[in-house]
Amino acid sequence: MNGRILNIQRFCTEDGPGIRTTVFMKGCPLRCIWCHNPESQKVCAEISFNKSKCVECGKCAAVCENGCRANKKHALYQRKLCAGCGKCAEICESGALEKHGEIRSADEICRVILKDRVYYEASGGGVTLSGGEPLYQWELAEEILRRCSDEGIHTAIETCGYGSEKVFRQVIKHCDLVLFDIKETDAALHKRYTGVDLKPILRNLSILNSEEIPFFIRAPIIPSLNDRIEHFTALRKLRESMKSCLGIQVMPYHNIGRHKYDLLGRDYACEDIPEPDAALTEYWKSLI
Amino acid sequence: MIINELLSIGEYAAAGLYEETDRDLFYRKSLALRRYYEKCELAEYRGEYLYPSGVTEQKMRVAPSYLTGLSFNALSRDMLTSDSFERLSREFCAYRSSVPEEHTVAGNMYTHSIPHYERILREGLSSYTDRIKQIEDTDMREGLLHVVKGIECHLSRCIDYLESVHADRRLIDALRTVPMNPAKSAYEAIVGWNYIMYLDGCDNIGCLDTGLMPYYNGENLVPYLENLYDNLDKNNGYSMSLGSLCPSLTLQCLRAAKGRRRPMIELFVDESTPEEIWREAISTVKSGGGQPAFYNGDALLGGLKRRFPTIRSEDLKRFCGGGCTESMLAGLSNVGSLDAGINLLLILEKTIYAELARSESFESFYEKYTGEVQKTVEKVKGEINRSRAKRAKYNPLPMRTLLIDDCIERGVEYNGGGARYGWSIISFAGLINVIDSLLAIKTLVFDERKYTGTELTELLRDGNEALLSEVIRLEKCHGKDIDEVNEFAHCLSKRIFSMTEGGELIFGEGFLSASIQFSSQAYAGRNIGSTPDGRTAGSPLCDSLAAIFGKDKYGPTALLNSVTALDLSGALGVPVVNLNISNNFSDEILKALILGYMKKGGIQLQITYASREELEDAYLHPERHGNLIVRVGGYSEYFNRLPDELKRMIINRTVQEGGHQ
Repeated sequence: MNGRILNIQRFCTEDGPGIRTTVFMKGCPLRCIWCHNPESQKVCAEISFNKSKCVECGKCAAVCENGCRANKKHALYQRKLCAGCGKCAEICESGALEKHGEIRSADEICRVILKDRVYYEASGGGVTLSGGEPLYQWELAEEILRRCSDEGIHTAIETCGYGSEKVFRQVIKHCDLVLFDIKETDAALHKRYTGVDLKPILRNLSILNSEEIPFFIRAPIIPSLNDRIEHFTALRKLRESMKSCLGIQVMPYHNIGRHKYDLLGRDYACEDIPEPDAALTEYWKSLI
Repeated sequence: MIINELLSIGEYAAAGLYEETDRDLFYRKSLALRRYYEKCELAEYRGEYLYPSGVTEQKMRVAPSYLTGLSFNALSRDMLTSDSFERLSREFCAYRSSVPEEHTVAGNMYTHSIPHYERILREGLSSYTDRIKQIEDTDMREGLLHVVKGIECHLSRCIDYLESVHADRRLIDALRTVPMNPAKSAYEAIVGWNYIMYLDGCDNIGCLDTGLMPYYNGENLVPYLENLYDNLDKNNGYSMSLGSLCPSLTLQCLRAAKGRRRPMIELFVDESTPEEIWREAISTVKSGGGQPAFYNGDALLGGLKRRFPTIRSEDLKRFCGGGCTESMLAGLSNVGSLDAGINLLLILEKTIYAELARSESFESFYEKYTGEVQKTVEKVKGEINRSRAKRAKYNPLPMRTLLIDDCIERGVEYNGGGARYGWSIISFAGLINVIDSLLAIKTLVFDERKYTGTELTELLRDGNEALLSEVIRLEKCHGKDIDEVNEFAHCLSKRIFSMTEGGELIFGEGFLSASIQFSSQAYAGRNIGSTPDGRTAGSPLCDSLAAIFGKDKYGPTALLNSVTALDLSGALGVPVVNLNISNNFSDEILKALILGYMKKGGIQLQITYASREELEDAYLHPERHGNLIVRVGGYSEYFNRLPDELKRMIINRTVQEGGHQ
């Protein structure tokens, strides 16, 4: 079983309890306008280009088989021609070009995860599948989770919850913990901000609860978009109505992913959104 | 005539050497010690809890360093007639180590020591007289009695002085008891511990918490311990080990060490270590100072027992680092702490220039290199034995003979094999540079054939920047937890560390490998050109076993897994690892990291808690960071005191983050 992986990050301490290895899977059905990992959205490989690092050596043009660079002396990059093969990034010594997304097998991924088993045991940690969205490559996700679970490793996913009931049930049965994102509780606004319907997400959240799998709700605070009393009140009611919910973790908006849009040649829609300060974050926390 | 000349310049101890020139050297040095303690200037009392306190005054230029230490090096030529100088030099400087200088990284036959504090406090030095009287050898017997008399006299002078300045009555009373008679309270034990430490030149504290346990009744000892640690620090002393047999006492020993440069602490931890010890230890780590270092008792002590089966199980509990952190058994051993330091990268450089161009395969080059290392190790072992024989002949040490078991029972001088155990530590410097260099050679010359051996050699000779930048970016290197690299590193380290196993050591159980650098890796690199790991000409070697040039970019678990892939059990002298962490590590995560590392076979871990920004600022503005302490090599040191290239190396070490990266 193969799939496209953005990164396997060892020693993560914020994606569930203890020391964890987080597998960032590529591809997400949502297009949250504030997304700070835009390189994770498409399931295909992508190349980012940092013009400020480019020394115009021309080596990338020499290895490119798709003619992405018209002028060999200048790293002028025509993204629409790019097949994401990554040969240019491999040869780039200045670090201007970077490939996002590699095909990896479940075997390879599990081998990396198992390397830190002693640290999971010592800390109560384990593995977390994140993304992108792990349900997007659900067969790979299921296989990794099943194997890790069989090895006695604590398993978690961080999910937006968008997927068919069948897929969702298939994946969560191997999870010890789920970190479940609720971006917005108003159906119309959810569709506007993320591009998908809220309904299947709430259905899956109920399934999680009825299956008695412990979960945290993760709620981003996006000033001027979802920082409404009604939204946070709705979140509190959701929490109160679900006995498997361990709590709500708020995730204050930050713009550290802003520059990634430039590198990927995309527009960033949240240019003017301020980062909430600690006092404001505490206020919203107090409502949930 | 020489006696009068030495007395006239106040060199009482040196004069003592010439009182009975027909006696052997041990006796003469013993008598000199007695004369020193009878006449030496006493330390000023400034209201401390312990006496003596502060820096040992060395008003006499000749004594006492050569009476307790290795060589006769404090003599001022200007103060003596040339005849007398020649005579002293001839008679007391005859011992010189013959270990080749390039393989003395971090040490050259230097021997730290740890007195048997516990026995002296339990039995009292006065009782040693009866044991000394059983010694058959007249010179040794009478010499040691002189040393005890000297100490008695010194104590009596100290008490008179303290009375005259109306010192704390409790301190005076304690010194009337210890160390001549058994200690009766924890305070007396610490007063005695301090005094004995000064007798041995303030070198190491030993197993403090277990040693104080018989006297401890739950009282607050922190102020006394702080005084003891300050005395060690001011005299540039070294180590102390802590177990957790009596948690509240261990806690006090840790609390007193907070923010201090010395002693270096070896704290033994495992899953059964009480939570309060973990909390205090991690809080001490986070207070700066790189203390304590965490030790894996099962791996280290079990390994030592396998390596030297003659060690009794009960004696293993007396493990303590001596000097930086060299493996010793407190009060029972004569360990050549850093008898030699093999410069592995220097040998690789020579092998590259001599052999790479004509090597047909990586395997043949590898064999030539390891063969050269083996030859060097054999040569060094021979020189160590020759040097130890000379040391026994020319540098008998009466004080250590008195303070360390079983010299008196055996009637054998300390350097001549009197201690119960002895081994010689050979440290290997530059191992990680060599691992990365060999992997780069394998990749570029033999696997990918990007360069010929001749081309690579020439590029290195020129310090070609493009090449060095290319090799630094190679994926296969130590610190990333790559299976193929780990396997290679294991085989190479096992091969190298095991080279010390064969051959006999005079006056001891055998040789023991280690990877401990002091600050010596800076000097060791100065004469080595650029190397295939990406190191530029003249720059320092790696710091012990951690990754280099920020290559450990996959986090601390990947780094520590790379370290445990090395044959750590082959380097019980010990294998040092320095880890820099940022301030976002939670206590629980740090504890789990340490325990996980030990579960994988990690033996020792030193942690520096400082951000890159703080280190950068200290580099630019040393005046603002007078108290910034870092772990480097096997020891803790003020950042400001390090040579420039080591400061840069520490700044460039990867600072491992504790959260999402």
